[in-house]
Amino acid sequence: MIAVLRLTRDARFRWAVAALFIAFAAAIPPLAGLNELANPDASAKFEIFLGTEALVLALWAVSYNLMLGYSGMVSFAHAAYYGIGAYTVALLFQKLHLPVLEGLLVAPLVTAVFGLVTGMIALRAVRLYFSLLTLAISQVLFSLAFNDAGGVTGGDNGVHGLAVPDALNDYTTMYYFVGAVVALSLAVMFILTRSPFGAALAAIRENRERARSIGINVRAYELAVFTIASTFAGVAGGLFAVFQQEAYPEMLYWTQNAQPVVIALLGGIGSFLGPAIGAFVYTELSNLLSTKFSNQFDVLLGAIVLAVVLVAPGGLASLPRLFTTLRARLRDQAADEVVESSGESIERADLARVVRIEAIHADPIAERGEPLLVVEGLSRSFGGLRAVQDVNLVVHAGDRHAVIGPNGAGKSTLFNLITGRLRPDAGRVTFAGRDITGRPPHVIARAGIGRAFQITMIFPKLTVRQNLQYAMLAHRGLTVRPFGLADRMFRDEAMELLEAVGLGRYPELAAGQLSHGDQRAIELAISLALGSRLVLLDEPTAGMSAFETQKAMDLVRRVAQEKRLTLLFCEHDMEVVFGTARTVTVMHMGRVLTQGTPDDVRGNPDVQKVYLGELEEEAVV
Amino acid sequence: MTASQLLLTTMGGLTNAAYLFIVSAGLSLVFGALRVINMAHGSLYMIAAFIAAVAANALGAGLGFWGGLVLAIAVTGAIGALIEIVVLRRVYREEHLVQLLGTYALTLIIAGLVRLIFGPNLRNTPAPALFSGNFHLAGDSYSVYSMFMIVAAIAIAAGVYAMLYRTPLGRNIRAAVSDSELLSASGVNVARLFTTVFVIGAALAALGGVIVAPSQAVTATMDADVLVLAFAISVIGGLGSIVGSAVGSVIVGLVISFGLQNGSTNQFALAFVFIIMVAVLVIRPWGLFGTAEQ
Amino acid sequence: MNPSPGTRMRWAIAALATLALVAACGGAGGSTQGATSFKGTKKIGLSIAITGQSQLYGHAISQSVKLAADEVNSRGGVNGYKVEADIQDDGTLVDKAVENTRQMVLQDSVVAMLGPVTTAQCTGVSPIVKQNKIIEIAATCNSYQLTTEPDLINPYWVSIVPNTYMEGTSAGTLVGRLANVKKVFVVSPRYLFGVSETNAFVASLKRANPSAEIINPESTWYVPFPTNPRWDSTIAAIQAAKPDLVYSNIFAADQINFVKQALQVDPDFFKKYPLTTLSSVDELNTLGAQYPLGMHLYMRAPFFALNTNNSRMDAFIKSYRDRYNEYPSDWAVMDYDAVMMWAKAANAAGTFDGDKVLKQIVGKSFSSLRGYNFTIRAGDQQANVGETVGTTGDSAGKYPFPVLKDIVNLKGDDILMPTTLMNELRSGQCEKGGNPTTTDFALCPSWKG
Repeated sequence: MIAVLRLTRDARFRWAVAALFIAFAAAIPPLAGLNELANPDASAKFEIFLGTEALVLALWAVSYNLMLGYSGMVSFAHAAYYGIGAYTVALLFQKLHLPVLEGLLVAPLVTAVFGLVTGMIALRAVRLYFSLLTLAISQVLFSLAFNDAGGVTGGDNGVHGLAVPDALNDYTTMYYFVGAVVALSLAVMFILTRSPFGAALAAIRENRERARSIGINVRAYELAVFTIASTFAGVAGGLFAVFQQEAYPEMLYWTQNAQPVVIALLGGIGSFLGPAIGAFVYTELSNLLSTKFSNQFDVLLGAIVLAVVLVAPGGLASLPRLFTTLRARLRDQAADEVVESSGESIERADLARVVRIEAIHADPIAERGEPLLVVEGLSRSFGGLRAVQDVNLVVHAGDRHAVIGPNGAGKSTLFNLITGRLRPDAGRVTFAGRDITGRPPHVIARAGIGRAFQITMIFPKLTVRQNLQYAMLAHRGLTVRPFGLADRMFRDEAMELLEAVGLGRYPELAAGQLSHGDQRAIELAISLALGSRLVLLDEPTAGMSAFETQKAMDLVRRVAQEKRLTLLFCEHDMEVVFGTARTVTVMHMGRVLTQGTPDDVRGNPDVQKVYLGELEEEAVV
Repeated sequence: MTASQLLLTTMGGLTNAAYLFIVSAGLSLVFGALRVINMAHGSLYMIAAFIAAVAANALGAGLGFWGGLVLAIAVTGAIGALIEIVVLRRVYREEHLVQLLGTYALTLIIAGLVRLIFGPNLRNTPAPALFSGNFHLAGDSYSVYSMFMIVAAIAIAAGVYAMLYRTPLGRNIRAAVSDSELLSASGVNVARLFTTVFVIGAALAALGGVIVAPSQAVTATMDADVLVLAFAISVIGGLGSIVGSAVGSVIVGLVISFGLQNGSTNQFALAFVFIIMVAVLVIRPWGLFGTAEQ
Repeated sequence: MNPSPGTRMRWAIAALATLALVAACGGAGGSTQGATSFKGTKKIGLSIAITGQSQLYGHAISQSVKLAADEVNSRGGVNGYKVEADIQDDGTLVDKAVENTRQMVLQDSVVAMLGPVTTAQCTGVSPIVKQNKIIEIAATCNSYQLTTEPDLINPYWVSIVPNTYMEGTSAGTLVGRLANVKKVFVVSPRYLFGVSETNAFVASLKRANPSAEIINPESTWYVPFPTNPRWDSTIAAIQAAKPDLVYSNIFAADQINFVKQALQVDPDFFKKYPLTTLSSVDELNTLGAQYPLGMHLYMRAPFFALNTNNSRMDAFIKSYRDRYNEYPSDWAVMDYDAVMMWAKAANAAGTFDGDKVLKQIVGKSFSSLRGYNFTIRAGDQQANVGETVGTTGDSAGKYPFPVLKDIVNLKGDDILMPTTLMNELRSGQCEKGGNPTTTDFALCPSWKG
């Protein structure tokens, strides 16, 4: 029994389910025929028709899930693109007498253009505001279709009575035709999700900020996936027009989005084929409910959706896991998924091995001691608070440069200004001779500035290995590739780095399941994996034990030395600072107080005063 | 446009605005504090309207109105508390899709139950004598009930504002808007606070339903009629800002009213509302009076 | 998944939801017992708005269809078979109506269909029944385009409801004959039904009274969809325009909202600006005593205007009231007729085959609950059913709502679309016009000439 349950989490199990589903879908027409023979009340034609409907819904829902499950975007405009796809086929037929199958080729092009243009508007906002923006856009599009804008859409009645080629007039042929188009579309989307491009989407979904700092242009990827999703919604809508032979404005109304969303939820937004399976379940279920319980249909559908939301938000795809959890609960055991790491990884780090890793590039020009990062007159205020004021700072190539200062001195803001997370009000940042002031984070990251954050910024639901792999992919600009298997790329490099930094035992665990210390180690590893010339570390050892801290800083120092990387870090632990840094800048109340060698700084009376002041405050608190 | 036309259209727009504000005030409040878009807000409003209709027909217009008000607030408040505790509490930490879907499921369930309980027939609710009648201004007639709705809208806005800015509860709610974790650390029972806010939101929906009932047919579809415009208003004004909701309502009310009057814009009067919504979200995503979210 | 105290609660909720589900299902259960004397059961399909914007009408229609089916069965059924009404909710949505129709045609093997409420739904389902040679009887959706527009022509489509031509021109002629009505204000919903009926009204008004003018510009006749429950803008525009008469074909909740809000603005609103509008027993019943008196209504089948010396109608009212404790609305009357017409034709044909039953429908006469016989003419297969016009007046306690006074039951033959016009439309000789664009009979050669 346990073996069976273990199996359900196996990749082979997923492939088996997929194969079973595909076989089932392919066998629907003959199965429906057999059913009709056995059961005189059944109608093969109708079952096949429902199957066709499910196929189209499957494509629509999977294309929705490209945004929802893979990129974490909730759009209310997806029905609009579905509708536009159907209208394209219908209007080309009605106005220009273009055969529907040719219209079907045009539909995705039209919806791609609509998706791209409206996506550019919608992606000005994020998360909930993005959703609301898509809602408004879809209402405008609905209004255009309903009100017969331009006198072409046929107003509230839409377009009816399309003619299909004779060959498709048979239910079974239509089913296989639609099935073939859907299968092809799903295959393309499947390849996409496993490609480096898909890896970038996963990174964005898991942690936008982190994705930026490893060099991913978040908005461009979101626009791309939005456009791709609308393209396939256009194929689905076009297929709808072909097999239903009509298009009407209601298809664009925002509430229609409930269909693909509920289907995706039912099937499981975390899996690729889940929504497709969900489409078949949904079609059968909604047909059953609406025929048997016509009067209570909405109550029942609502109860089912609510139950899924509350009990199994992972949908059908999560049922095996849910079952495991339930079984464990019944036996009063903790569910066996909860595996946490010990948190001692960094103690096992093999410094010599890290140094040998080629993925971490040696900086060929670092030794010259030239200014690598030049900050001039940088300022930024929040409301009335001047967080950073007129800061000047030069980081020389090959240096290990610490920025210290009491809480609220502006260290993190300075880092955020350098890495593009915040825009400066005034001042200039030059990196390797290039002006990077106010450039977006992914550009700065790609220019060669890597970063570890003060709070842990990893991709929690990706595996530890993927965290590093995807960082390597993104930083090398490879995530634009929509094909190839992302998981096979940089696998060895990532594993090598993992083992070297002591995380080799957990490559396949979700990063978020690891202990805090180990997550910090991942954070550090990501910033090293990028192979950046300049690495910014914002309190790299926050939350680590004394031993871990020592080990981590040894690692950082060794790597920096051997690979001639330049380090800029801020740190509270003075032992760490003076043991690592060659140059120290002291900040106080947003300004640079002083700068010099560790010894200079240590002896500076102003610095002592600042820290003494802080100590006094702490005593008061 | 003549002066009389201008006045008529403006008052028409303001009445519409009052209606929209009364119905959507609670939506915005709940979003502000809980960061949850409650799709079921319209459903609570509809339940209240049915209670008002039943009460007015059983007890007479006057007594029915006030009795209905008390009953509706009690019933929707209780349903609101139930929804918050049983459903929302479980999904605060989830992505907003889960919250949208959870409350969407509730709209389906409530719409169906309302239809099964109250039947599909439209209900007519008499207005209490106190707010009946009309008056004349510049030669045209105006409805006392519309004026009552405008006054009620202002009173609700003022009441919610005072609650937010003059009471300890309001201080906590505002603190929750900016950072609920910090608030929790300071010893406030955030779970109870959230339930309270949601119940207040439900009570506002109830107030809306009872006030609107005498001016409309009470139907089992009135939840959906208002939802999407309520979203537009909350977004334009700034999600979570009561002042913003008021201003958003006035903008939407006037845009619809003037848009419909003009032949060249009539057809797209509703589309304009959404175009404004797009513009606001693009230029100032947190709305006219909202505060930017980090 | 992390085991937490919340998880136990989740399971409790799941259990609760399942319980609710089971309870709801249980409520719907209950199988129908087939009477032993029948050869079997045949279904007639009805995809109707149990939910959504038109649920008010769908409610009445489904009640009446059940009643009619039971009556047919009590008289021995059709061709020896028991007739069962297969009623499914379409939520007033096109896609659902289409899916229901397909399902009923293919899976439930219905022998005939009764039409849904909206024109858009009827346009959507028409090709399906046509393809499957199933007769569909429209008793609610009534845009004349459904039976005359070349793209939509469907030999299996039969209309027994006065269509928008019949209603619109009746209203136009009525208003055209009123003395002192020169300035008319138009309010209509922006979808095909409204546009179709308004065009017919305007065209016939111009003919009946060339000096009458519509004072609001055409671009403002229609209110956008989905309609706002507040009608302030329309009311303000009417007050500003001060028309002699307001013409509307808004219905259900829209009409109630408009009337209520106008009365709140001015109790004499409809005395100053008399309203000529489409109405039904449902609207009268909803507003009850609040429905203003003196309104010029045109109605499709108000039972109280059609039951003089009409014992069939009296019996129907009685059985409807006994069973549902409601007054039958116009929609109930017309769908009852639809079932009875089909039953008679199918019995006459001795088969359920669509083509053969159709032969027993087209050109044949049927007795209507409305107290007369109607004939389905060849061509557009429209029944020559009448329209009732009158002015609202107190029912003197007989009903809980006002009834019509000065009733004129217009004869179907007098208002039916002329055959020439019908043929011109069906052969595509008329231009399209208006906004939204529709086929407009007023642009046909014979109307213009």
